[in-house]
Amino acid sequence: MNTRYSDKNPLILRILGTAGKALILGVACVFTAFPFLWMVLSSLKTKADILNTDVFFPPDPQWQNITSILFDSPIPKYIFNSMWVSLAIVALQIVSGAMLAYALVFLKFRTNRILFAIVMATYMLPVAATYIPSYIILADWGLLDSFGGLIISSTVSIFGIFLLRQAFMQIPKGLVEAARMDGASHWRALWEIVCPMTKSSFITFGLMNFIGTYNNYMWPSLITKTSDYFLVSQGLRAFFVRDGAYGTEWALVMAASAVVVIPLLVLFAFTQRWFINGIGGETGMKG
Amino acid sequence: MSEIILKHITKEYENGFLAVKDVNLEIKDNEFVILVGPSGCGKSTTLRMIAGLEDISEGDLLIDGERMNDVAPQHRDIAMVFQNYALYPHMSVYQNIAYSLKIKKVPKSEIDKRVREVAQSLGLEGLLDRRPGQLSGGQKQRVAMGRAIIRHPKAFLMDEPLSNLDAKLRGQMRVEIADLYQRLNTTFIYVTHDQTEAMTLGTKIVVMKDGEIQQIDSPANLFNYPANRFVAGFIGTPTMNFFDASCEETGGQVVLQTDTGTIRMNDKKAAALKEGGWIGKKVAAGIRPEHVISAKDGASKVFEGEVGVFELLGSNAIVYLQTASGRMVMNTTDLREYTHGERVALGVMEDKVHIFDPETERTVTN
Amino acid sequence: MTVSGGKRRYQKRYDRLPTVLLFVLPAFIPLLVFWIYPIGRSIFLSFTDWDFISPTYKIIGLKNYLSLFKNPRFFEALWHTLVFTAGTLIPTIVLGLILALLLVRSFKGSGVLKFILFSPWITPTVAISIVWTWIFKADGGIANTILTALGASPLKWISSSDTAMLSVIIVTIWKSLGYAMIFYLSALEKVPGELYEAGALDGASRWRQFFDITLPSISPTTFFLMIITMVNSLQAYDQIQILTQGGPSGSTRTLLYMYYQLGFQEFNMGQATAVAVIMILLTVALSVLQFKASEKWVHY
Repeated sequence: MNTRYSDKNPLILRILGTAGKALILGVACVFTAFPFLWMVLSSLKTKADILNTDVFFPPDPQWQNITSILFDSPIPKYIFNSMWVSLAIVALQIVSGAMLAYALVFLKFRTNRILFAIVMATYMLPVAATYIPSYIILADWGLLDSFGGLIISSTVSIFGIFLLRQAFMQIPKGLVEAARMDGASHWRALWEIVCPMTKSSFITFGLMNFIGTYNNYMWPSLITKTSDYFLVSQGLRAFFVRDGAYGTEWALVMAASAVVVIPLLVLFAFTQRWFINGIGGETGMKG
Repeated sequence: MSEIILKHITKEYENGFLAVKDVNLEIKDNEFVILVGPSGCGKSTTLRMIAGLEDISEGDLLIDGERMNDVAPQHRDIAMVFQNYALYPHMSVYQNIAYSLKIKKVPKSEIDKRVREVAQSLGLEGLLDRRPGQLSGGQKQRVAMGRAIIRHPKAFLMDEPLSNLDAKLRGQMRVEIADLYQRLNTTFIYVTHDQTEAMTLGTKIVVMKDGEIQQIDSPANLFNYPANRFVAGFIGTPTMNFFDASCEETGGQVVLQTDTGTIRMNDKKAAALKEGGWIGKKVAAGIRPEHVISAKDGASKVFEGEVGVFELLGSNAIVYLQTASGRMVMNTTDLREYTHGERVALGVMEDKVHIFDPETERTVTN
Repeated sequence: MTVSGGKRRYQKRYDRLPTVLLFVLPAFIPLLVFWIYPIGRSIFLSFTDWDFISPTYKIIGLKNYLSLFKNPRFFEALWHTLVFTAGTLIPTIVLGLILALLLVRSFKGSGVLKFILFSPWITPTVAISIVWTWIFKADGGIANTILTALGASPLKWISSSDTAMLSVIIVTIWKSLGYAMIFYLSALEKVPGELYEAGALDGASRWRQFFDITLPSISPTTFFLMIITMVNSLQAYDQIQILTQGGPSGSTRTLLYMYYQLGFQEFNMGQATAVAVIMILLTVALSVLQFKASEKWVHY
């Protein structure tokens, strides 16, 4: 065991180091995971058990809490709304974003730089500042309280344009030119050459924006008032505050939250690497 | 079948830079045209304007008599081989070669037949399933050419296609391109900065500099009858020796007088010099290294040089000398050893002297 | 130069402008309608007395701003915004970096840990804020049960104006910690690996290495995270809406929440848009400040 470094870094210090590391990570993970755990545990408790903090694990899991949310509440409808509205929005965002990013990188036109500056400037501004006039626009178009209004007001993602532009800039211009010489239009060059080469950015874009739209709360809650059009966040809140009373049905509220959250965690488990690589690796960060 | 004509073509970038100035060029069917010149001379820009990848600022581009300025590249029916191959990394070799036919909606069986034909002619049969990332430089080069060949286009454009290869492979691919040209019977337009490629491949060479055409001619004419000092210096290795001389007439004989000797002008050169009114004036003269000879071989002494470096290349040798008229390079087949510092009396093959106007650098007589 | 007949297909024009428009407009029109125009419109509305219901309005100059500046509620909200921004930004970045440092060398189970730490970021803030409301419940909430078990006295959390902001900050850190960690992980992976050679460095020089090499080389990421976390914090709404609705007694009312209350509860559009304009200015000011400061400590 007498390696060259052992005297500098004695075993005892290394054990302490590892223990400290484990402690910090352990605390962080418990802190992070606990709300999820508590949500699930609470969702399975009876009305009596849930108010008794001495009961940590549900002694008699109330699975009917979950089934009543699944079959007997509007929550699945909200999930469905969120699902298809988000898919529609993300599809539009990908098409419009990819086209604009393609134009910014591969088409030559005079206002190229100005256009990018505008896009970048809007990226940092608080979205909320746009809400009142956007609300009025949707009201004028008769699109308040409708899926159309939800979708049409979110067809562009500035984050996505930025992400794709960064990715497209890595592609040698010659490849697009080669495609053009091979007879491809710009449209085909975008979807048959550029898109497959930047597939991971497209996936990251799609997943991030899907999650963002799916979870979005403030804007949808401002423009939809009828529960038929609620997305999941707004629906969950409505479920939470229904009958004007907070917290009379904690177990059911927790069950509803669990029904909303767990599918997302499963989706995330399968797509984790796209988030992790996409967020950290491909947003054009130097260093 | 295809004739490409450039009429007063000019390219001006938005920042006002004139990349190509008033280029006029006629390319006939089946010609192998080389655009050659130092980097930044506008040769690539010219090629890209023919391809449609750059806008033409002024002038007309005609292909088979039709004005093509505003036609998109995909509708010009021209193929191009790019410097860094520009193979689609996410497609196999097969898909790369087939892509243009797929766009044209050629039937699958027809595509398959043609891909296999092309692959065979380029020795790519075994590589069809590979991705470009798994290929060597030479193989990528072949795929890039296959992608162009398969379309039977009106013309092939090649932008420095060999510059990414090592010297040995470059020589080999040069032969293959020449072979391809013989087989395909199509127009080739080829951009290079390498004059060896230009001289060996081209049937017609366009020498460019600073966006302007300097000379359009066959390889032999370019070598023997350069239109100006730039072309004379650009074509040929080692490059032509230039020196100052004064043109004089003594007893009916026109001669060039250098600091250390005289060169007699033959009748043709003498007439041209007289006609241009050069008698009694300074001229710029040039002589190719292979036309510099030892004064002992019966030639009269023109220069006296001190040997600097001596390179024996096998069948010939290159001798670098310092003379009163500047540095001089001699390409000789006389394979005796020259030693550093040795003084040598040099003559020239008098018929081979080129004379340029020292102001405009245009050729007075070749 | 005869123009031969059957070649009309090559006559197809390429008309650069239509191509450019075709590619730009699908994103640019929505951008114009739902981003650029509304921001301009907000600025305009902030100089009017529009109440949303009446069809007419008067231009009243800076009156909205002046009445905001006379309103203690506004300064409270501004202060809460700054406290909330600083209170979320600093811990998120510091803790995110610590976690990334501990996880950058992968070991058995590190993937699972990354998964757990990042998962709050992908879950709906509303759902998880509801869970936290339950955790923070003053009597019978698990947070107080744990505090009591640890020997500390229980807190009133979101039902007291003393601790409500702290509660909202905890939830926000909980949610964004993993996000910062992921950014730092990829930045740390790009730092030359020899710095992390196990055991090759003794304790003291390891710290030196960290401050002299690691920190400077990940400074662009730190800078990026500061900007992003700041922008996110300035716009935090979901957790405040669920946990406290800006209360108790306005103790968690940020500028954004004030904007929401003025605009969508009181329909005082003039003042609401004035708050929005101030938020824009604040974002710009803080960004400029950070960009200026970054020249001193960010090393690209």
